[in-house]
Amino acid sequence: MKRGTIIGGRRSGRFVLAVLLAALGLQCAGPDRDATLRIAMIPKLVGIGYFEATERGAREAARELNVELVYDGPTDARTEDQIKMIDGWMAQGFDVIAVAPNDPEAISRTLRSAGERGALVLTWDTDANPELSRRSVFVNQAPNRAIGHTLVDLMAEGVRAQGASLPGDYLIVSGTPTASNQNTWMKYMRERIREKYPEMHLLQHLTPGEDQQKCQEQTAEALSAYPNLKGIWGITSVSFPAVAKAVRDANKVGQIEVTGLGMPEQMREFVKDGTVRKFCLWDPVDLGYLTIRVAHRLKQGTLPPGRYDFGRLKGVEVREGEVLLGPPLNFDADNIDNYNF
Amino acid sequence: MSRPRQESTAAAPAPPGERSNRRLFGLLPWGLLALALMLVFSQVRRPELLVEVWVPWIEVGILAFVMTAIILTGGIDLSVGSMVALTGMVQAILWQDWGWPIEAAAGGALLAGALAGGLNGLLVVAGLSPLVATLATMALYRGLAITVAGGDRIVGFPQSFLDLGRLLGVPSQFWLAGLVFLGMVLLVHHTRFGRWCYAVGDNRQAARFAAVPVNKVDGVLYTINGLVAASVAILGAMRHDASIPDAHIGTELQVIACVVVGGTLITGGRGSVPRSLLGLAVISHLDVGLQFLSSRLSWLTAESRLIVIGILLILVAVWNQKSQKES
Repeated sequence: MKRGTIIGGRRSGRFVLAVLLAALGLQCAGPDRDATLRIAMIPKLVGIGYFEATERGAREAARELNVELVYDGPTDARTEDQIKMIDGWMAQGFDVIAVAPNDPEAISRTLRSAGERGALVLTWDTDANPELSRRSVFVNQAPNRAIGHTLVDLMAEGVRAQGASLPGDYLIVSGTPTASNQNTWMKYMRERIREKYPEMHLLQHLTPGEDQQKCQEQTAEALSAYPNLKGIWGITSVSFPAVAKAVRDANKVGQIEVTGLGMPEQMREFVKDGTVRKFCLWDPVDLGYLTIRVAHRLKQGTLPPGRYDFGRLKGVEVREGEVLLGPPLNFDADNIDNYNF
Repeated sequence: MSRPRQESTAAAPAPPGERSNRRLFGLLPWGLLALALMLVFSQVRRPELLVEVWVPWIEVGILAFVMTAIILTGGIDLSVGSMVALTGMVQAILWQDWGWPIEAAAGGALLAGALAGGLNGLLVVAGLSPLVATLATMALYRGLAITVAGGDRIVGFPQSFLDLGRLLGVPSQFWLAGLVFLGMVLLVHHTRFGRWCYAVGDNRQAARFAAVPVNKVDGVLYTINGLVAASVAILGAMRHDASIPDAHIGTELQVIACVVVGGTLITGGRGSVPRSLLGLAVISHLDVGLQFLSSRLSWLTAESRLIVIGILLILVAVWNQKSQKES
């Protein structure tokens, strides 16, 4: 027994030594890439389709520009993990920190410190507090106005394609009542209806929260409560599929037009079976691509407002502290199979 | 690392090979630490910023020093992460909604921490298993933290408060860690109370018969844990200018991992506070080192890093178990 343990112990000691040597070899083997720009890109979380799509675009741009890219985010959408990662990448000497903040306020002090320590800080997908964080620029996926207007245009187009007339009731199903993105889009949707389609009558919008089940129930109730209902928007990635499902379950396909904001992967079945004719979203691959391109350009010099070409993205609009990806992308039965996010 | 007397009396008569086993016992954590330190320092390009990288781990360490004492008694406190979140929210709400000055609000947070920890202690004294009791309060305190402010984080603390986030150029967490470490080393290894902790962990029933005030030990330790959790919350608010209701989810597991990797027996009765410092150093540098390394190895994503750390922890746990059985 005694002898056995001692031999076992020696073996384990050798094992530790071997691991140490292996690690030493590993890190010596790493290429030294001091010369290139080093960009750390931090999504809200990893492991979901949307942020895998942005990563694909970011990697594409990084290859084209020959910059070093680390795309690394928390496994849960939590601010403290993002902060931990940003501090880590700063100590690793990264030149650019590009983050999609889970919380625009709580991350701001960390971003400001990163900027003060010499990194170029920019936000994408979601902005941080611009004053507190002092980030240089926000790469915005799509102007809110364009999203609001496109959503209304798609609805009008769809109702007419059904052979119906526009006058009637219309309903928006949102997420939580305080979600600032959704509230801004609704503001522009109302603006578009007022200006272009005054015959569309908007009902009080629903805010069932980010809960698929509740969205579906409340949509089903609305379907029976409003006989004059012509169309429903689902304007979050949770509410949109729920609305489509409720309409399909109520056998109202062809009578109620459904559109909104969602990802092709989750909406594919509804487009294929005709519940949804057309919907929109920005292209997340392009968003990742643009973010890296903008970071690279900002490292070369300044970026005064105007229109610029960023690699394969032409004529991108740059405003004060904001870069706009461009108008949203429309999806329908013809093109939906080209997208996997 | 001083070994308290209780341990030698509790252990079986030392077999001849024990000395070499003991030495081997310490080898794996130290080897891992060397490996992790090498990883970190070979990859770091701005070493002066490591201080910032360490801060979240120092918070874990502060909690681990107190947790060591609790685990020594055979207890555990799973609610520690929830207590940090709850006390942080208490402070923010007393300041923002109740209009208390920020110092008074910090005092309120400490009081809330003592109450939350005290409740844990009461439940344990009442005979509930610490695992069950603190599993329940983990949910309870988290729920409270989220409901008190309607799930919103609170930001915008006064500048004078935020300035306390650094003392003498060092994040205040380091000073608190030093204090708590010294305090716990003194309490656990140099007082009668500390010897009670070992006695309770070794054999609760026997300790009771030997007139050790078991209830007092439990009550005091869980209350200290609540107080220290509140201190971590206050310093966290200074650093980030935010109190976040869903902060520190899963922190309890990191804390317990530090204690166990250090070599403190999860069933109690054996271990020490300095050992938890070793455990903290191993785990934190592995985590940081793997993040650093991931810029070179693309397969080392956030998810696969969890796998690597998990495997290493299993390795250490198996090693500890083996060497404890042998000695």
